[in-house]
Amino acid sequence: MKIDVNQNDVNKTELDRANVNKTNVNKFKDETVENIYNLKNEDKYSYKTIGLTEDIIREISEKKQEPEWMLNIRLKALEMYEKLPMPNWGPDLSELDMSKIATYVRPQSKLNSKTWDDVPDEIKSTFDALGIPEAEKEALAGVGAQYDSEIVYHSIKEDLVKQGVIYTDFDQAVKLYPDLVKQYFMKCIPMTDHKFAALHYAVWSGGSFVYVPKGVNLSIPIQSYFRLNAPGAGQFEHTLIIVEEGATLHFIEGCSAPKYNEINLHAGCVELFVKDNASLRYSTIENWSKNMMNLNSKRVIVGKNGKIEWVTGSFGSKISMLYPMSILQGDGSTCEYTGISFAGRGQNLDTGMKIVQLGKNTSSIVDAKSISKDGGICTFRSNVHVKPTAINSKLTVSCESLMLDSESRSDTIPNDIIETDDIEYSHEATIGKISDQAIFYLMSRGISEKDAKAMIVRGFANPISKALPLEYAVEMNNLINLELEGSIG
Amino acid sequence: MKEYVLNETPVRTTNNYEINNIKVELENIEFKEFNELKILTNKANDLDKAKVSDTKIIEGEFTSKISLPSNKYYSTNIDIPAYSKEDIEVQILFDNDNKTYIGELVINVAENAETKIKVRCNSKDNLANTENKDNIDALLNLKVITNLEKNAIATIIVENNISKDAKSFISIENNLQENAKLYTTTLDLLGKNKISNIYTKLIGDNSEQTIRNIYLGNNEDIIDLNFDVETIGKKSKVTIDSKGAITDKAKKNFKGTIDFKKDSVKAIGKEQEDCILLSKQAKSRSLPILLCHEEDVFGEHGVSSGKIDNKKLFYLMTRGLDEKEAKKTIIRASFNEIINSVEDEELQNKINQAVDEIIK
Repeated sequence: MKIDVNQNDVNKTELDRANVNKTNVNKFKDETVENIYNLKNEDKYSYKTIGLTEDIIREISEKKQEPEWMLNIRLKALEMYEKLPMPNWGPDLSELDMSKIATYVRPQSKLNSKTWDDVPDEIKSTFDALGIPEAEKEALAGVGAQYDSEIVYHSIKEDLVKQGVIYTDFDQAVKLYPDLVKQYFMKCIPMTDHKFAALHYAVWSGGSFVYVPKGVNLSIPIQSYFRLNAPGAGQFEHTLIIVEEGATLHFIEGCSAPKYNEINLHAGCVELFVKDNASLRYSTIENWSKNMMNLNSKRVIVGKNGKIEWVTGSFGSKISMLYPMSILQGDGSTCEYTGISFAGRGQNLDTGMKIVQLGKNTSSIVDAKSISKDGGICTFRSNVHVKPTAINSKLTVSCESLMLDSESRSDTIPNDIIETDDIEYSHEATIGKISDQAIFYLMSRGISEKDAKAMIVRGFANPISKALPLEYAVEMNNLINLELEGSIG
Repeated sequence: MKEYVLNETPVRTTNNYEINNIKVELENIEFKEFNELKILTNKANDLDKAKVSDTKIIEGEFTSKISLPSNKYYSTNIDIPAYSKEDIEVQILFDNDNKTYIGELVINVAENAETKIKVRCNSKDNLANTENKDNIDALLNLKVITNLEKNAIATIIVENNISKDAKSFISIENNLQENAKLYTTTLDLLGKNKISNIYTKLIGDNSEQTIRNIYLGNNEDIIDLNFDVETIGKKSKVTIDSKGAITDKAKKNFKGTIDFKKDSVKAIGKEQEDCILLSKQAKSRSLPILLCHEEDVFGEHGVSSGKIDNKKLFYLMTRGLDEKEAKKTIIRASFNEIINSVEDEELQNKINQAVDEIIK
């Protein structure tokens, strides 16, 4: 009568997780969805490096005509990359072979153009199709457009420049504002943080530098858009934003790439500094192609009474490991995180957020949602650490997961460390399928089952789209519609 | 001294939070003779007797989900025959001559049987509730395996209440067949290290596991709870409810996993953990995991941590209770549902006494 217990079951769950994705990639046809994000331009470049060696790093630095201090940082970072181990948790990254990744691709274009007319037609038409110039005209205070490894276009409204706002590509910032850059560069995310932070610092290229002076309130957003066209390439942009005391900024980041059969890599870095009484909203619509490994690092340090708002939509990538981190250093600082991940066929999106509450009277609200379908894997990880100094703090984490079929996986792995008794803390999560009652209700109002399910999914994502400017909410809903095509009904 | 890496979670998370496992330093663990294991049954009916095997010493590797090894251990089997109803009390009593127990208890509950089994891990003084209790430097490495056949019902209560300096490692593994129901209550009341693991497979359709847990910690106690329930059968159900209070420099890790396996259609999983922090240096870590590979299920979890609500304290103190009594009342109230479910006055008193102990 005794039933044997398999003593090797400890790692069985990890094996299950790895096998689901492999099985379903084989089971389903590899379809390439024809849409604007999948536009491919010919792989033309003026300079390209493949692999990761000291010589390559010296070449990149020389091409950029960088100061020696930056080259030294790159070389130290390469050493660190070689020492640090691969993560022993999360998705399987063994497919990544750095010797095959194009670590630097300089497009055949004038860099950092101030007018779209100076951007080659092919590249401009890609950004046109993505709606960037249109958005710039109608809704943005500044735009940065990166193509492969370099910024090809950068603009900022004149009146902002007069107020002392700096918005330029990061390569330019290193040369034009070295003291400011040195003061903040790598102070938020050190190269020792993890292996892909070290990789980033070794080969970073492009990205944005934003400086908002004291008391300046930007009521219109600034956007940087990152487009990776080259097959087998990496994008390693560095974004550094400083919002001085009492200032406000809304920064929007978008990214996409066409799909190839080889692995692309994104290991960017976003360092944010929100000073006392300042406020920053950082919105991201991520739609990397489904051959992309997205191993990005994002972190903010918030001062006294400062506020950070993260609004994140993750739709692309083959594998994603993305956990924006907020350090609430100043008393009274706050964090709001609103995010959604949508994992479809062949995707393993391991996303979430991290919060460290250090100051007194700090508070955080997290509202995260995930959807998985067609064998996709969505994993939500929240890592919350409330330090002993965070007296009278509040923290609420809510995570909801929706599964659209039984081929997919949805996992919630929240980790909470509480080191003060003077806290109000709660965490909740739910997981399940679309409610039969909700579908029945909509169908009884004359809506087809397919449309009813789509409506419910869009409603599920509504808190995130509400937090975005209208144009981006529309884009996000379009992405959801694209993902839902063929998966429901 | 040797460092052991124990009680691994079913999935890993970031290493810097030190919650994937627990590292414990122990002196060389050796199997020692233990003469205070008692099994008490209520053999009311001659025809339907629980069959309790003699306790044997097994020479071989002792493995459990906690992974504290030994190459020798005690083994006792308890078989509850089909259609019978048996209450059993297992006493593992420590004293200065019996400080180390390494062993397994295998409980097989046959089809349609019902059983209530209390596993009482105490010092002799504690069981007898004497005034002056020896603080025995005890080591308990216990594995309880429960196999429930079709329609079987079992209530297992594990009282972990040995001594202040005791180190306990209690691993419970359960396998449930169709319509089987298991109610597991663990009371981690006393001990320097309270490391426990519950691993359940809800194999049969409509099988059900309810886990209730109370934990208390003071001084520099370390509490590491690792509950992992897999729903395999259709309409299987799991409820995890863990409540605790820690003070001084005590540290608590709660790791609760509900794992909805594929085809466990209409399974339900609910998990709740609430920790009351009674001092500034007490540290609480929680990792409530939901893993899901089946669309048609419902899962939820919730966690809360914090100090006692000042408004509640104030309210009780205005009714004439001093601060300590008010705190005890609030803690007992938060444990109330679990205390009531124990249905044993002696154990209920023990829980209340343990609460008194940590509110000094």
